[in-house]
Amino acid sequence: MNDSVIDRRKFISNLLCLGGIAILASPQRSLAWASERAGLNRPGLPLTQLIRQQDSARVIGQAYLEAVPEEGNALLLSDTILGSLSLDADHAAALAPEALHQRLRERVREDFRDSRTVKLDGWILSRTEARLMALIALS
Amino acid sequence: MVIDAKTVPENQSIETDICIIGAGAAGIALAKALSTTKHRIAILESGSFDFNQDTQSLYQGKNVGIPYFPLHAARLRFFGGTTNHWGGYCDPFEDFDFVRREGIPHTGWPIQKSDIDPYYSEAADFCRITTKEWKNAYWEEQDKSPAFHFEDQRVDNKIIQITPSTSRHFGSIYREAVTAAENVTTYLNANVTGIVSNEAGRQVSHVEVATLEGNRFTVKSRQFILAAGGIENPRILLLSTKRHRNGLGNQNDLVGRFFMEHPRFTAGRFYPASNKIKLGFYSAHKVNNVQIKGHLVLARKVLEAEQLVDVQMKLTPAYDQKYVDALDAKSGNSLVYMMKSLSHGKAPDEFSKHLSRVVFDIENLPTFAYSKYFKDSLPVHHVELVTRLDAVPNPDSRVLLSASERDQLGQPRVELDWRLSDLDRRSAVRAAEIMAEEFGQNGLGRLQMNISESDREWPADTAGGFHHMGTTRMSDDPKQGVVDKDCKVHGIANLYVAGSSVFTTAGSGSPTLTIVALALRLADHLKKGMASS
Repeated sequence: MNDSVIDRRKFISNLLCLGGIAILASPQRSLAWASERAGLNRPGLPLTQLIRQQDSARVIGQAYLEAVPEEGNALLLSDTILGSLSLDADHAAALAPEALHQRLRERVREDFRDSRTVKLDGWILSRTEARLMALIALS
Repeated sequence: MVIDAKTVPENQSIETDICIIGAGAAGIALAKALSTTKHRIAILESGSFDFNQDTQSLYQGKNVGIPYFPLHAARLRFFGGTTNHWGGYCDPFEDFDFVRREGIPHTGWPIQKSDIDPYYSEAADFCRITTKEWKNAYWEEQDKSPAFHFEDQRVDNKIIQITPSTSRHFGSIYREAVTAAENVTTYLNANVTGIVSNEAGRQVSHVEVATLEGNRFTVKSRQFILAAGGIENPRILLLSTKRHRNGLGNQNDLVGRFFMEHPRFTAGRFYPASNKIKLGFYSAHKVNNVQIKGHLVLARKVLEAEQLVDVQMKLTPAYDQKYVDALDAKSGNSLVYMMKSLSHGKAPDEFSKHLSRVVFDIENLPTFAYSKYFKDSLPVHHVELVTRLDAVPNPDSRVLLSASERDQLGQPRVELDWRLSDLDRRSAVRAAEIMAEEFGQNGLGRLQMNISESDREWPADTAGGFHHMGTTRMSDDPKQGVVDKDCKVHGIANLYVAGSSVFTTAGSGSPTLTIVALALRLADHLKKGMASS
């Protein structure tokens, strides 16, 4: 096993032992949310703000991009994630962070229910949460 | 009556009605059940009432397959057999275990669960299980510790009961009952070196016995029961070559094949969403004064749909390191030791040493106390998913006689070539994947797997449970099994096998309860047969 895999595992365990979907930051803590809305020209920005531990998420996201290089495009990822939430960018921007958070949480659970999962270094993650972290890695 | 075989004169021929070879769980259950008859019963036990290193070393052998425990450590060779280190886990097999299963080769017993059900209750008594209730719903209702419930029911809970530690050593518990019976004679230090049939080869005439001191004698009997364990049973049959060149009952090259264990290894780590997750249901704990333990298992519908073998997951929590370290603290352990001594009215040994440890590390005592006495409330860092498989019956997984190594009696030692299959691996992988999906779907956390279908090796911690099964498997077809549904060796009129070597599949339960139930069923069969003859 090489060092990067070890580091990645450490990051992932740090991130995920905080609690699976609870890795999504509580909306109340996303203080930067409102001010960042203006940045919607950056693909997926409202989504990426939902994750509190950005450094760890970036490591997982990088692993996802290595496994699925064809998704290595921020715009594509953002559209894919929003599409899976039945949203487009305008609707996402209009949603309160709590609502977006809830939709994402539900989608992640649906992913697990429907076996839409991805295996990264042994971790079994929802496809949507993995894509979200990939988006962070690209941001 | 007890006779030390060392005192039996050389070349003496002993006659009896029923000869039981081995005094482990099966042998003792048989002897006790048959002690109520008028038949003369002889038990031939290799060991004595206590552990003896020289006798134990007769069990030495070589592992040539998947790394396994040293063979002389995986079983015990004295009165009581391997129950002398039994963990006490009891749960009956299920209907599902006995049927032929689509996609899983060599499954399907010649008996159904209903054939053995009448004996499970008595077997539970024998194993000192106080509650004959095995339904999960009953225990979940009684239990204050909550179990997980998954919406789409792909994962179920399974309960095992645990025999109290004071009741597990059948050699101690049943010694008086067996040795006091007037019609039972127990020969200690009596090693069976071969089973000899008549000239036609269809009936056993006698067994040959040797002691480590050198005297040899024979035992003639109307019926013989081989109950020496899942490795020694095939060994004795393979050693019995006087009339059968390939060994007794081995006309179809099946003796020793299909060796099964319940392989167990850490298939993954579960990182819970909350470090306050409650796992008490999945650790050994008492409910209504009965010790039980919960496991997660794949639901039957999943096993059938995906053609997987049975998989059980034991949840073993790992706590934050500071609590683990605190439990090892010398100060805390010294304090506990001193308090225990004083509560028994004794002055602690090395009082000043223990006192100084407490005094110099006093600031860590609160953490020690919290860790020790509130273990169920400690923050959980992660949970090890220790996986146990009902391994696929595999003819290439086998017990063989060594071509070069011999024991103190001059007999070939065994070699164990334990093998697992791709289907075993796929079952473990799918189980972990399904658990991960269930944990994720229910917001419980995430799972990191430690095993993959592309692995060439099994996880480094792969081991067994000292469960040696399948080596004289049961089948109606002599080309598929060594014994028939009555546990009689195919082609031999008066030779039976007892113990887990007759298991056709390893089963979802721990073996001891079923070993005893099958032994009691065999005792009934013998009683009826001998009464009619």
